[in-house]
Amino acid sequence: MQYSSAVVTPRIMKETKLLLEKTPPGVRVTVSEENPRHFLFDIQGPPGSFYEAGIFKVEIFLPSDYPMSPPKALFRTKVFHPNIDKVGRICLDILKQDKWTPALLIEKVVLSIQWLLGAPNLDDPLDTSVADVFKASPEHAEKTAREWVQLYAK
Amino acid sequence: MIDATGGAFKLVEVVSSPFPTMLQNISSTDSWFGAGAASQNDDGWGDSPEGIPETKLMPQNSQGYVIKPISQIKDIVMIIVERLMQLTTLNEDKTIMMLRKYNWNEEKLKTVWFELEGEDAEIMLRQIGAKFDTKIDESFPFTKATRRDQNSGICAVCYNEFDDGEFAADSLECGHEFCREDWNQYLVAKVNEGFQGCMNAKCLQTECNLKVTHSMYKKHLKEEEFKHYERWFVKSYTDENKNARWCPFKGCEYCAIYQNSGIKDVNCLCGESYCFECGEELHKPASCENLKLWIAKNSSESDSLVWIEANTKKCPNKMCLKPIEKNQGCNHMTCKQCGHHFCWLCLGDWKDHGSATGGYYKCNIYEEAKKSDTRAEFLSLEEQMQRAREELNRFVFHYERFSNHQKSKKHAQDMIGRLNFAIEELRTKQNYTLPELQFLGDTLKVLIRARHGLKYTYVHAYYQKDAELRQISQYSQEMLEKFCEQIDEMLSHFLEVYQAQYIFSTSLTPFYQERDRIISFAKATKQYYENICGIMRM
Repeated sequence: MQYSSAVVTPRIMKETKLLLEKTPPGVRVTVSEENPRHFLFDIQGPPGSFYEAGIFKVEIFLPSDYPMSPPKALFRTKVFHPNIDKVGRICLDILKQDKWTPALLIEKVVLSIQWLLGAPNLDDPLDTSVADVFKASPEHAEKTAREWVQLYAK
Repeated sequence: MIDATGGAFKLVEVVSSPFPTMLQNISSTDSWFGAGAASQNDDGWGDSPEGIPETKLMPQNSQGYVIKPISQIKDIVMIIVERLMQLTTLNEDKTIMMLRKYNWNEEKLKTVWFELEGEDAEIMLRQIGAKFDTKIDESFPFTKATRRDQNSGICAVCYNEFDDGEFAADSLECGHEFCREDWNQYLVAKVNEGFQGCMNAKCLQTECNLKVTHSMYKKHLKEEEFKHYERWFVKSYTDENKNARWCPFKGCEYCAIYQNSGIKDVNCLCGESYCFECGEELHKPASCENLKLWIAKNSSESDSLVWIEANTKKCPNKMCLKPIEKNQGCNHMTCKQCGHHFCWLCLGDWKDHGSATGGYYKCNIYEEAKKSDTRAEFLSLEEQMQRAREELNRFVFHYERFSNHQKSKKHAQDMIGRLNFAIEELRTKQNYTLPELQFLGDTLKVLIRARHGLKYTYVHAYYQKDAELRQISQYSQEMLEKFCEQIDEMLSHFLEVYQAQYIFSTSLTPFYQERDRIISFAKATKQYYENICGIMRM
């Protein structure tokens, strides 16, 4: 069986159904009307983090060879975070080919992204200038992150 | 043994004939080159191609290495695996993983394995992904959902129900079940990901520590796909293993497998020779380190910089400082870049110059500066240039000779065709026998090898710091060069004279006299080459 972008596989159907019926807490999901492989998530910033009370839009797309290849995920909300860059790309291990395994689910990806918001990884930054702020002055980083939440993630 | 008259070279079995592919062309039907040579020592001079019985895939021979085409490596690997399976009592898949863990070093693996006791062996196997780590079930309970006894009969990857056909369930030892179709797609994706992705692929279940086994690839890949996998498998053996090296020459698919230490020169079946240690063209008597420096020197820009330093002065205009080369004319320089006028000798402004300072071709300011100590800085610049020039000259001296011998070697190689033709003429028209004519090929081989060696004596000499040793080797170098010139000339002469059959058809004696002379010169050349290698190794 060859997966193609037009075909919705049983796996994607099942996953979509599961996501809609049992959406994890702090998450809202919308499936694109044009393309069933295209999802839009509203992810709530983890409580206690710099990003709490923010709602972040994250786009997820399932490539044609999903689940052999990982989903593609992109932030559509500006966020001041060392592992997320200006255009919304995310540095997360399970989104990379070598760490992704086909048994992982979209739900897991979304929860990992939410978790990443609460646990910035300064050892492996994507946006080094942001990481520098986080290292040099955590107070300043918190202030900027919270400001950005007010400005963009409401 | 190579069939001397059949002419059908079984390349795979031939070891250590430096130019078999080239010399094969010498005679399409008769292998003149193998005849009568089998009893001589096999020392890399190519005068005795030794065959290896087909039945013994990994023979020990005097060379210390065997040469194998890419297609046979797989079999060699499987023989090693089998041998170790018996010793370790592990299955094939686990043995392969253990061998990879120890970079295919059998001895190391044996030592380590037999020292491991009970629990330690288990830990080791878990670490390399050969045995399921049950702790994963505790740390990540969700992974259990795909275990054989707990799954719902649905593949967690494609969500199809397991059946007996394309959706039949299968798992590694961990028991995480996925359908056949998905295993195939996953493994194909891993193979396409490249060497690392393929050889380190893990179970489809997240967090599972088990590595995908050789037999799993075999089971789930279609024939063509499995061939692709085998390329990575073979690469794992040849690239992770210190005892194997691919021939570095373009288009060659032979691999040398080392068996005992000591000998570094490999004569590949493609006709080229290389150094096993560093993988560069054979570079005896220069050492690997010196060769590395030499290559870096030849390819780097640093030498153009030395040249610039040695031959140019910077425009004295502080805003310009362009390097300027003076190739003719008087001392009055005009910088093309900035238009600054200055004196080449003292680098002062030309405004201060004129008939009073000696005119266009003499600079009194410079003469005085040279005498007085006040311009020490100025003089040190001069000295610096002088040193750079000397260094450059020394390099150019060695480089010129290096490349001249390269050309001469090429010239000698170009002679192979003519020699081939001459031998055929002498054999068919004048009835000389092939053993009688064999010296021609042998001599040419000596010449080529000696030229090649001479080339690298200059690399060695360039880096030789000890003056005494340098002198000794210089003498041998000169002698070897002389002998090379001699046999080069003798061979050319011989070809010219004896190809024209009518000249000596009445008397055979001069032929044999000349033949003996050439043979003795070739012997001496070979001796000098070996001497020089010995001296330079000091």
